[in-house]
Amino acid sequence: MFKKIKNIFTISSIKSRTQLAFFSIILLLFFSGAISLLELERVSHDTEAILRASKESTDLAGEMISALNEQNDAMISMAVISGSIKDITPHLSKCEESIVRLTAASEEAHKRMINTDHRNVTDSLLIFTERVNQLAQAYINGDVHRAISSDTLTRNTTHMWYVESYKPEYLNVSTQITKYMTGSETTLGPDVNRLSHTARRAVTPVFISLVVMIVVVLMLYYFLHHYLIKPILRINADLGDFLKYRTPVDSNIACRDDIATLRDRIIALIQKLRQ
Amino acid sequence: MRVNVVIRYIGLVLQFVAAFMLISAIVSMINSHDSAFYPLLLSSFMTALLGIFPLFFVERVDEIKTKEGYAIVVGSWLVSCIVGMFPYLIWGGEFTLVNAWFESVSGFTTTGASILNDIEFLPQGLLFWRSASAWIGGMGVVMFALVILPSMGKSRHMLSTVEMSTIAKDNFHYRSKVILRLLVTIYTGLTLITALALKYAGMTWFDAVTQAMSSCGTCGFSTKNLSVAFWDSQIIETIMMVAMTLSAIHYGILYATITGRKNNIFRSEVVRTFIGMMLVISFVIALSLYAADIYPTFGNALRHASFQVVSIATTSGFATADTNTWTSLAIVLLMFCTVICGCAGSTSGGMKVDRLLIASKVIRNRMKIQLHPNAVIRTKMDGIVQEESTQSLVMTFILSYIMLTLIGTIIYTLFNYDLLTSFSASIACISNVGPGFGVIGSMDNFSELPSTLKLWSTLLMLIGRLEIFGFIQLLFIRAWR
Repeated sequence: MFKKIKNIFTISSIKSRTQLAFFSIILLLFFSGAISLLELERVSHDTEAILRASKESTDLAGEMISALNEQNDAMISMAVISGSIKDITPHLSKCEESIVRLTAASEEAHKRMINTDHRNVTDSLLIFTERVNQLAQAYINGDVHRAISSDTLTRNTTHMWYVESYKPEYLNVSTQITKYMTGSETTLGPDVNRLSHTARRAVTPVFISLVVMIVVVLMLYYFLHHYLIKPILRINADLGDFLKYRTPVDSNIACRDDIATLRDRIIALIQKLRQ
Repeated sequence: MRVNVVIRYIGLVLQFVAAFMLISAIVSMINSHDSAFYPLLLSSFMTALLGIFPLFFVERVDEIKTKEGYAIVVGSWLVSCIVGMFPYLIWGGEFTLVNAWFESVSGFTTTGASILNDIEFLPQGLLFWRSASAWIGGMGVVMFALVILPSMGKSRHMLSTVEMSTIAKDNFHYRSKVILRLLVTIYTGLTLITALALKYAGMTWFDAVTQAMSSCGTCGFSTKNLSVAFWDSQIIETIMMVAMTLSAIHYGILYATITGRKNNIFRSEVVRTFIGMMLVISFVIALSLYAADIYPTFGNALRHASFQVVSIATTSGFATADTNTWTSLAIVLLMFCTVICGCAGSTSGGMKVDRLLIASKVIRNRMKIQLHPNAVIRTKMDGIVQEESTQSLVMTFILSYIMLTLIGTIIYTLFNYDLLTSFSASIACISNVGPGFGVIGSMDNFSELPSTLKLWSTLLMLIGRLEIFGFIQLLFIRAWR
């Protein structure tokens, strides 16, 4: 094993050295690319998760608002506007349906926020929703059923009830829904932070790899110049001088591997020619 | 100067640094692939590539010239600090480019100053790398590479000569190869023993190993925001105090003590002065703290005072108390400890007790000569006559140290920092201590400093670690040809 590792550093061919150098550059590119890809995958996954969570909480808030408004509309129709028992009946089912929807949505919202710092928002939301639903249910069970059975409407008292009892509770719930929307977006903060963290991790390796690669390429240039180009130029110049003026080729030109062999062979050739 | 040779040997050192990054990546992998795994793995790969590349081309040389030796040592430190910031940069968080550079330089130079506001937020792999960089820096990156990496040949001698402080070399009476092995063996052994003792005292394995590396490297990097105060354990503090003190003593003297030779700890004038100084200062500070009602009992005051004194005098910088709230006398004495620091031939930075001792003897002899102009008085330390050249070198070093401290202080004050913060930051960086007073107190950090000052601080750390002249040589690079 150690011998094999040692052999890597005892290569004696300029071709192998250059190949190894380029191979390491490719490896660096591949490795940093792979890690960036991996991190980008994470970025994509995190972004998707954040967007999904954001969309779900918006949908939930939308559902709550829609149910609450539907209930409110039904209550206004039943308690304030309706002139006869006939007008009340279609709103009754709407109101009952909205109670179920609002309860389900608020419980879902509470479940989602149970492990966050904004838990108190959904706690309040749940309480206020329960109160508004109870009021609506009590109105249906009491006044509406009484009116249906007796076939008479007591407009003044129900109108007062709506303004004094139901409306404040309705407003409380809508405020809590707004708070829930803000809160649910805030709970995404850590996820967003993580996302920016991961995004940075996806970009920085590429940047650092680029810097490392520039250094490696500069080193490669320096080494190729020092061990390949410079000696060849010198051997070439010496060979030219030999052909022109018969001056000897310098045997001390600093070079190694194949270039050193080339130098030695040229010197041997010149010696043979002289003989 | 042969640039290719310099690059080759810096490359060897980089391989060594890459190996430690890989170990940190393994730690990260063991810790259920925490977020530092890929940054460490990639950094390790890139560092290894940078280091291995020159080996493909440059042949091994047996002889290294002095200039090349300087270039290799200074270059190795700088390049190690540069590659050392890769894991931080890739990981992100609080690590901007300047912050990552600061943390890396602080680790390798064993300063132990940090820009992190929440250390515990870092994944274990990165925390391990922080401590590892401090551990490598403690012994000197080149020293480690010399012992562990093969194929150094005769060049080993030249590089160890350049890396080691001039005073430290005088105390070694062994061959270069023996010195290096001896240093690394004692260093590793001491770290292992400290880690075992800390584990036994109640730390987790991870904390025990990282704190041991940090203590023996006299760095002061902790894995907790509250530093050693987190454990609030007298046993842990005592173990760390022993580890820090031993690491701040000349390793040759430690070896002599272990092997029962003459020039041991008990006979060494430098060690006696160093330990005596720490004992006296601890006692005086404890008295002052007790008198000022900062601690309810004298025992409690002595516990905190002695830990802080040892921590600062050994250039570690761990903390068990907020020294900013201490008395003025305590602050001044701690600053004195920051200036003097440990002994030559140890892992600590700063001016060193050896130099202080020689300087005080030179001053005393000068006064004697004024009284007796014809007297021939020699300056001796540990029974060895100190040459004129050594005395001159010591005095030049002290002068340069003072000048740099003053320049450093001026630079800090330019940014509207108070005198206490500026002066203590300047000394803490040059001496590689880490914490100072004021804004950068023992329970604070350097995060509040502007980027320019962070960069300036890292420059001071590097200058201090390379014993001033080593770094200044770089400025005359044109004259090297």
